[in-house]
Amino acid sequence: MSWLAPAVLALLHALYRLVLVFKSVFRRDKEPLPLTAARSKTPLHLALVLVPNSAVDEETNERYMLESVVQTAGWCKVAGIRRLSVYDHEGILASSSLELRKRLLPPSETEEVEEDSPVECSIRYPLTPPPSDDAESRPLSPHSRPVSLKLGVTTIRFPNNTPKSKSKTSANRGSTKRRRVPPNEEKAEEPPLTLHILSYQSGKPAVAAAARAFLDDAQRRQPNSLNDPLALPSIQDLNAVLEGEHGFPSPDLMIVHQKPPVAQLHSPVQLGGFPPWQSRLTEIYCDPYPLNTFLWQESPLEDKSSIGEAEFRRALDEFASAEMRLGK
Amino acid sequence: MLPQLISSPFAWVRDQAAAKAQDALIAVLKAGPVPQHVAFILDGNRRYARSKGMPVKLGHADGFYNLRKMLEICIKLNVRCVSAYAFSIENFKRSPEEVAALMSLAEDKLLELCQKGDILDQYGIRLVVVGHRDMLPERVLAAAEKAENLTKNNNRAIFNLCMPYTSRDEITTAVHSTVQSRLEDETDDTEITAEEIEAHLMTSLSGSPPLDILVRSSGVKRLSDYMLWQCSEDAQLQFSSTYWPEFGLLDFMPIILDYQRKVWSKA
Repeated sequence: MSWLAPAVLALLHALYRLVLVFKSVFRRDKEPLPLTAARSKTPLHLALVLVPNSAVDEETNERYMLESVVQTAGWCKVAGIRRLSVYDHEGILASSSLELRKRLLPPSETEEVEEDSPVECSIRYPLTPPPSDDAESRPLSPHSRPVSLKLGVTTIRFPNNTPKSKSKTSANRGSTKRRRVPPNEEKAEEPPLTLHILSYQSGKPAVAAAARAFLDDAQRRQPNSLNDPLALPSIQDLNAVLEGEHGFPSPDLMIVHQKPPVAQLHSPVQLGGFPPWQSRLTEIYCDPYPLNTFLWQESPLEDKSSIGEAEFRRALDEFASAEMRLGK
Repeated sequence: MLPQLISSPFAWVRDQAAAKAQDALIAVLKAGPVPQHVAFILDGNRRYARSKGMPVKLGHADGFYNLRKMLEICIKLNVRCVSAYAFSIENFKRSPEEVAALMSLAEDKLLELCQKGDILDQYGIRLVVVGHRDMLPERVLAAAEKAENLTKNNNRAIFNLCMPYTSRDEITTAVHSTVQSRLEDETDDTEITAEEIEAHLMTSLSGSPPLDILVRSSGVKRLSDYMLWQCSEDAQLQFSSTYWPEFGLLDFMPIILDYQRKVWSKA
């Protein structure tokens, strides 16, 4: 009778698959609220975790991811989200940070950027380690800034548009047509956005790098730090490093998105190496039935070149309805 | 009186049938691949209690019984390691009465689990209390150590009872012990790697295999400082809307099926 259990299991899986197909095809989700709708709460910091599709080539994945970041950054600005972190495991986004910067700068900015004028947005690349003689690098006390840390985070700050060139801001109309602001009112400022570009290196390896820095600090402070409990970092110390200026803070909401077409009818979300330290209280959103989204998306003729706006809005809706008890 | 005389054998038959059905379903699921390590966030005890008009204390008690039930189901499925988020360091922020009630429950249940014939003994489960132990009241710590000692030679499965635990505390402790051991061994000047930190995590020290599935009940879709490191890569995160005391094999079944689909799709 040893064939019975596997046979029943196969049947169970067939039934389960049928249920998933049914849900994928027939489920009709409520239309999500518009981007500019007033929600009870909006995340201050959104993370976009992009998963490439192994069925397509690298270049297609890269294009899809870059376009998704550009689109998401635009929606963030409209929805009032000031900080966006974008992650992919392999660092495809990290190696395209210049491209991203170019595409995310408003057109008026790029026109003004000449060779000898200073670029207004600041890019902080992961620092290279200092030369072997590190006598000059400063100690890692809670109040001093760590200089010899490689935390794998690229941060780009996009500034406001300068009001001096009002005529040029009309060039931005194309990307902001969904704003509540009536078209005839001149809006000289584009909301600022801080973009963190992350990869696997920004996560577990960054914790290891922080540990290394604390070790160096302890070794430098006194010859024998073994008996000094202050030599070992507290949670707050580690947090100050990982979420500090060379790292990035914890996002409130995370959207995990795989480039379609997705192989599985339904699969539970996986974080794909997203930095663990910062995912502590992050609300996790992942489209449970990507095939359903694919079939029912608002404009079927829309080029599937990036994540869709409906998915973004749905994530915001879910975030607004989440309760936070914080242990209490 | 008469209705009871009729209904109690009825109830007995029903319970027996349910138990047999459960065993049959477990036998079927076991025929396919089974996760090595499953972690549970036991969320929703209080909301469950309020929904039934019960005091919160009873919600937690029912939550414990369900933990025992789910642990047994997992062991019968041949899951090698089960971890449960029983108490967060953040939970100390709750009212002193509730914290005291939870600590008292923990002490009672730990002693109960220690008894001969109880689940740890019956299934050969090694209990490990994972977390910042010195925050526990003395009596609870004593009960925890007793349970750990009694089961330390069991080798069929591992049960990580996380209390009081937060992942950031676990990671920081791992960083501490990594830095500490490097300070002690000055000859080692190699780069500190993520693997080295991982080896110092409490779950690694208890011998737990990598995490395959994390289940959170009550519909919340966050990790809330639980096993952030262990979940971060390819653990499947399953968010069930059922409150923990009501979470059973039928809620668990699609989770196992999803796991099997993943394993088979990779093959």
